[in-house]
Amino acid sequence: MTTKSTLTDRYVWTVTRHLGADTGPDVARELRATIADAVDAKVDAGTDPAVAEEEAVSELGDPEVLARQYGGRPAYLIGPGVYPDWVRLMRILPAIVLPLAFVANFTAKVATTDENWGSLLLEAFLLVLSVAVHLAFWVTVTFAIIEWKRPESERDQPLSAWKPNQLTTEVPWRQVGLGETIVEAVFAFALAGLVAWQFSGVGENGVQVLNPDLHAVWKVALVALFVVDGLLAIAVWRVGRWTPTLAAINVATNAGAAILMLWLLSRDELLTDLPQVLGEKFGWSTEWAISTPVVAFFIVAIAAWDAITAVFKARRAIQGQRTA
Amino acid sequence: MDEDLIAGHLQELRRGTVVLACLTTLSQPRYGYALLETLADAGFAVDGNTLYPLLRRLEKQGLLTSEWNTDEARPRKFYRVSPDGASVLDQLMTEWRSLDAAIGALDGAHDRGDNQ
Repeated sequence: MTTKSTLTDRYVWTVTRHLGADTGPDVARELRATIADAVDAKVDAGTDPAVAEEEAVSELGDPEVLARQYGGRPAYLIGPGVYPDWVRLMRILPAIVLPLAFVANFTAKVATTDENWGSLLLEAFLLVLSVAVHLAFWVTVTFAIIEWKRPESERDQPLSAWKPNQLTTEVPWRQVGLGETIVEAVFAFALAGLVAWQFSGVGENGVQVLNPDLHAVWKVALVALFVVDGLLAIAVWRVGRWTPTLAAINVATNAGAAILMLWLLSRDELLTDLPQVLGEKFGWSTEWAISTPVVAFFIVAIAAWDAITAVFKARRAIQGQRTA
Repeated sequence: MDEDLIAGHLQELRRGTVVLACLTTLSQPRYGYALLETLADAGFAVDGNTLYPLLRRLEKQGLLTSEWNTDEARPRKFYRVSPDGASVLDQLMTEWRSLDAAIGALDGAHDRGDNQ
């Protein structure tokens, strides 16, 4: 490599280029003398001058790191002082914002456009994804700015002192709320009722979505699985936590319901010809089709979600009992 | 025993003592490289990339004063302890001695007669 500037020139420039006009030139001058002193000492000890300069500079290490130390700037985006607050916010904010964004976008689109549900759901999902990325990015940027603007002496301190009243009001594994139970049970029973009503034939005034000509065994099985789901919610509340047995029953009923529905779906027996039914009922266009993969995806997603959260809560309950 | 583990603990133990070593040594004015060598000769090896920014920080905190000496061919920045620095040094030294005594007491060194 041919270059007109010496190794020292380039090193000193790299260290001091981001330092202010007040300290930069002074640091540069001192650093030059220091490197020269180190080189002299090495040459006196018998090292070749060219090698000596390289050694002296290597010993000082990465110039960016050195520049940070001179400038008193942190070598990280978010340090241990504000990290716990960052984690707290990154848990709370997405949990509130993302469902709102999803529901708001989905309902607005359903009300204003006549695209099919699959593409609307996909659109809402993509929106939630981009909102999530933005949320994470901007929260992180804000915290990084706070971290970088703090005086050096406060850097490892938390933004505000922790107080015992910040603890959760109840340890999670004791937290099977009555409200939560009522919502889950009512939802499960309402679903069972709705499915039963659909299977028995809805008559003139309803919209026939599920196939009323299905074999009675499957009708009873599906309704029963939803009823079990509701009973399970009540059982969990009575026991006070998700036990491994209850979680296993929940996984089994979810898997059973999902497999049964997928099997019926694959045989074209689960749903009626929806475009036809809706067309007759509301005079809508019949020029669309329900996408079987999308329906299958939602069946699997909902069943898996329900099963996994139950297992997760059961595990947390076991761990919670161990710490109690 | 894991060498890295020991090195980590030793580094942790030495970290705070660099300031003490600097303030002690800089009762006489010295420039950066000379200080580095003095400390190394005394068995207190410090990396240049730790020491030089530290001198700046202590100067900014008012514990050191500095002066450029341009009498020789190579201009050098000399640092020495300020009155504030001297009082900080006193307190740090008192703390250091009391820590040493406290650790000695915990270790039972008195009983064994090791500690004088």
